[in-house]
Amino acid sequence: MSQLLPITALFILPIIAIIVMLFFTTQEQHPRVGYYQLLLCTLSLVITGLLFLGFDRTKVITMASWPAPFGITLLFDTLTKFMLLVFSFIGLVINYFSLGDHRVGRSQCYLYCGYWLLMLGITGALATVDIFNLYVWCEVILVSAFIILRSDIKDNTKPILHYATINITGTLLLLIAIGLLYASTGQLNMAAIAESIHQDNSALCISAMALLLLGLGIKGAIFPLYFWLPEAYPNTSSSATLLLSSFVTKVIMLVILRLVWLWPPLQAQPLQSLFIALACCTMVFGVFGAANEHRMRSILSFHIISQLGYILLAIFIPSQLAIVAALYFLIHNVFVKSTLIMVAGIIEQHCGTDDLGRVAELLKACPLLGLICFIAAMSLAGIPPLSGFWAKLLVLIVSFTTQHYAAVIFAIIVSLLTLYSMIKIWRYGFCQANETANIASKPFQLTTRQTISLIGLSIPAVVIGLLPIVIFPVLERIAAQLTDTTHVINLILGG
Amino acid sequence: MNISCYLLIGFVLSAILAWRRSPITSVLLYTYWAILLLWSIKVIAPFTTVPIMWVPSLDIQFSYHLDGLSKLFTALISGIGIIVFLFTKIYSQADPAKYKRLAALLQLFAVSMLGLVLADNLIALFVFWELTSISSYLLIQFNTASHASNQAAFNSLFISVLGSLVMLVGFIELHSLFATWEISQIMSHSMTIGQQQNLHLCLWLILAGVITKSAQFPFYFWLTGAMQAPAPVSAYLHSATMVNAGIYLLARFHPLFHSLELWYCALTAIGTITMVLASLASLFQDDLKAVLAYSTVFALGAMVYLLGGSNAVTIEAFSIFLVFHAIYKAGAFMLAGVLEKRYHTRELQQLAGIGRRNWLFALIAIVTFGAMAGLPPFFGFTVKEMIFKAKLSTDTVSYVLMTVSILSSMLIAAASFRCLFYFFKRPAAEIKSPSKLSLGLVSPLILATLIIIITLISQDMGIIISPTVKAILPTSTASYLDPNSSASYLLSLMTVFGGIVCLLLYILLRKFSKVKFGHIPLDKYFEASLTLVLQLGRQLTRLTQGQTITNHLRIIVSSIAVLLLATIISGHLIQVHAVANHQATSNLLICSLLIMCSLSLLLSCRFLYNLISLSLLGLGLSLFFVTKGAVDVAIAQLLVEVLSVIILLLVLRRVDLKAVKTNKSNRIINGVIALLFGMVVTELMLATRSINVDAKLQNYYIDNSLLLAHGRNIVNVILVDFRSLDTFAEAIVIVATAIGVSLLLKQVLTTRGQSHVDNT
Repeated sequence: MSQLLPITALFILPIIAIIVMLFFTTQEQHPRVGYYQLLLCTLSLVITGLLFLGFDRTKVITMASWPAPFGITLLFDTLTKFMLLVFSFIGLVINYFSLGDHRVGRSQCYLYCGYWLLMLGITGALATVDIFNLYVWCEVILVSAFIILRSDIKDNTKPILHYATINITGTLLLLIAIGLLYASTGQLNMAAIAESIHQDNSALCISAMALLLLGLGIKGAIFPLYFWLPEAYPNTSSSATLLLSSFVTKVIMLVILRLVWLWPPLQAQPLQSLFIALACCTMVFGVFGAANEHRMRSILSFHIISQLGYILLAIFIPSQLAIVAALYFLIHNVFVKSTLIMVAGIIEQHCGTDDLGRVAELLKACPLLGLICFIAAMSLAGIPPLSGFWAKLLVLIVSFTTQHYAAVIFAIIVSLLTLYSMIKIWRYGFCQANETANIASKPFQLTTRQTISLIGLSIPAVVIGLLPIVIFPVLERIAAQLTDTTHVINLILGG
Repeated sequence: MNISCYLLIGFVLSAILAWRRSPITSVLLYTYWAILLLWSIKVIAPFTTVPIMWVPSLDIQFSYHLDGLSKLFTALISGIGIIVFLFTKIYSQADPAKYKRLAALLQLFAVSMLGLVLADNLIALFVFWELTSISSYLLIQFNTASHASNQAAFNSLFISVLGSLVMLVGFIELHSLFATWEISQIMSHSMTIGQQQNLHLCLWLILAGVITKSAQFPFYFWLTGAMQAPAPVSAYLHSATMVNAGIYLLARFHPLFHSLELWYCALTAIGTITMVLASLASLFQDDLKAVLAYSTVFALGAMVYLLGGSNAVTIEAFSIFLVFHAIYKAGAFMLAGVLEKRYHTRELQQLAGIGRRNWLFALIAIVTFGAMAGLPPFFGFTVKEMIFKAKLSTDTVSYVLMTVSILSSMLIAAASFRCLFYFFKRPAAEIKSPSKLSLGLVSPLILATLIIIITLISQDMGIIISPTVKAILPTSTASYLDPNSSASYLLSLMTVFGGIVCLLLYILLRKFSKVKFGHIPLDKYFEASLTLVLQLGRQLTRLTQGQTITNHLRIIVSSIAVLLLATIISGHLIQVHAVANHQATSNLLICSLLIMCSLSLLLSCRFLYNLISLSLLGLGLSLFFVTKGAVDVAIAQLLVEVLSVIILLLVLRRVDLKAVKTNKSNRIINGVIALLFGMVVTELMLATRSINVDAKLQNYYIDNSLLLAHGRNIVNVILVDFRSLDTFAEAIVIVATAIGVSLLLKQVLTTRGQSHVDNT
């Protein structure tokens, strides 16, 4: 089957979905809107699945048939196709979970609108190889994240303002960087930019690319630009946290990954050392922040930052295995972190809070939740044979073999402190008795919806942990494609 | 059957045990371990060891290394395992739910431990290693609600993961040296000088894993804390098997590393320090389990010390001591568990006179604690080997070490005599619970019988143990064991008498002071240092997090400016640019307008003034565009400026704008940051002037706008045709913004409506 059809559907479906959802926003709470949403999500999963079927055949699309580098080019390679599949699967599970999330309340339809806008932005940002187009998709992601964050019955204007201000700053920086790149190379197409770097403009290109990556870094929450994340993520409904934490920062990391392998200056000094240093700082500061938090979702939000550091570290190490490491880490993190945030959301629904000082002995109250939380927490801490172990092992191997010994030491320290945080959640939330906790641990049952969503997220995580072989071949294929830079450039420009 | 499958069955069995308790599961469990026991002592051979690939791209597979060493450990794990499972069943008869969990976790641990000692692939070994840590964690915090057991469990997990992560790096280094994860291939590899050099690093890293897992100084506090666990766990994990994992690894790597000077020095030093401190501490404990825990630490120290040597005698002594210690210590822990279950106490003083009430208990206690003390009929091995070793090497250091180790053996003997002394002391008061010690004694009885059997066949121990010795030291041939030699007896007797003297000294000391020697509060140090790290983290986080938006923007903008400046400097981009000035006067006017606006924006603290300066700034920019001939851009800019001011003022018309004041403070900092960032960006902009840009893109648009896209206005054609996807996405942004605004409005209206309802 032609790949053009599912690709078109990828862009059309969200727009149709938004229109459908907008019809429902006028009513108070439509009982069936959730099911329409699930149907649409399933449809999107099917479409990405169809697209993934031909994952080996890279599809280059030139918009309105203007040849590259004059028009806008979209690149559907294995990376794009695979990540879209993963994202739409997670989106389906999260949307299913959100049906029972009472903190979303009346804003349900808006959350769905936000989700589809986000999907559109992600599809565009992953596929595009034009930096200005990337900027526009980043804006779509920004505004959709704003809608998703706001779909909460509590008033969270202040954190959202925080989020919006800092992220708009990031967008402005992106714009400056794009202007500089255009001024120094005369191109907007990523491949064409890579081709037109020469002796004259290389120094300027380095600075402009650094600015571009730092602008992306604000959205991708790297050190010292991540401040919006711990403010915004814990202070909204758990469904919104789930959506944002699984998608927004991760897409930015994938974009950076693509740029790193297209633009040679990003793999050379001084930018490589600069960003590896920033990655290490991101790991350390994230985990330090988490160690001092008491709310489960705050802890997890800081861990998002810390693990973005790991991913960034792997991205900037130039080897095929490092790409596999970064992607594996990213996918593991999406599943496991989402499971944990979901656990936190369920605890909040049942106990009214996810503050570890106020809940206790949840293991007695709900053993199944305890079991899932323990497995996910240990996976995040990198205990084998769960997925976190492979992620950590790969990062350790690639940084050790490329002589980044400082990064190895940081990775170990951060991994230990992650273990500390995870044990903190397990110990104070689930095990240890606490007289001051005002929430008595009365037994509760997970609803069917909660059980299915938890299992839907944790099963893939466990499977890629126990049998990494199910995912490694795809990741290696992606790595092989990305590292063959000249082929990619020829494909983009020749297509 | 492939042994990987057998391990998998073990894990499945663990899940079944957690699920339900029935006679069938028990039968399955005992059969499982009985088969392994028979296999390890070469009665049956049902297993094949074809490796199973796990992660092909990383060369990680389940491959197995079967020699005397791993067989010996398998025998220990399965043999003591069966006895412990028996004990567990009797121990937790009262509470079947707890038994299910305990049995399942013990089984999980046992299978992981089995995998650890059989694995040949370093990563597989590591996976099993971590699984033993995590199951040990769950077993120590078995009493989940208690603070103490949670803390002890956390300490043990944190310490062992700390060590194992460092060890993992060591494994990675080994892999990068030898290009293989397989231990057997690493061993058979011939080394170059460079590799020899790097081996030191490997050894250091792997030692970190060993000393944390096997509770050596300064990490042994986790083991004494682990006594929070139920008795079967202490008997199995924390004396007989898991703590021996580090020892196993040392023995496994002995052929690779023993030629290094570092090997001997490090192991001897660590072992000696651990032995001395632990034996001293063990004498001063009043808790029976604590005495046993410290004596376990002593034994582990002794094993590390013995492994430091590389002659056959010491290795043989090590192997026998390993087996013997596992048996008697498991027995002793089970005794302690039985007592705790019956009398609800582990305090030695309160247990006084137990031995007078039950002859079976008395018998077992004498055998196990006698073995621990090294009473002549039972035990004479380690001490004897130490003197042999001292004979072989004649430098003074060895004599000092030998004296020290004999002294610590005496202290351990004193500690076990002390326990026995309390057991047979005339009780001060009648013990409350008069019930008999019943079935629980079966398992320790089996172990006591084993001790007696080993003592009886001690001549043949050398032969039984020889495959293990050969595995560690391939060159060794004959058995050096001669338990009847006079030196051995002499030394054993010396230890016994020394132990009695030490005990008397201790009693004398106790009369005058309550000081506990040898007890270093390492756990407190550990917790304090962890708190310190977290405090540091808290301070660092407080610097950045929880600030106002303005502060965050300050940090972000200034750090980006600094980072950019760094790239500019490293790229030698700073040049003196000649400013072209053909429109000097108009440029100058506009520039001064812009600068003035910026200054007033910075300096004014009234919101209204700020707003006006901001819009003036925009107007100045549009003037600038006009002078550059970009009239359309200027018009757009003008419209945006005017509209935004009008909308803002409309929105804010209810607010008393005079009252809204911006913060006066830090204005200088703001100015500096703005100036820095502006300068950096200007520098970059100016740098673009010196570059001859390939105008291919522009020319294409100019040439083809009319020809191919049929439009005279190039900008329009670019927007709706050449780059229509951008426009599409921008349209979506506008739609999204509209949706967001409608969401906000709806929420505001609902809350207002609600408050309205509340008011009426």
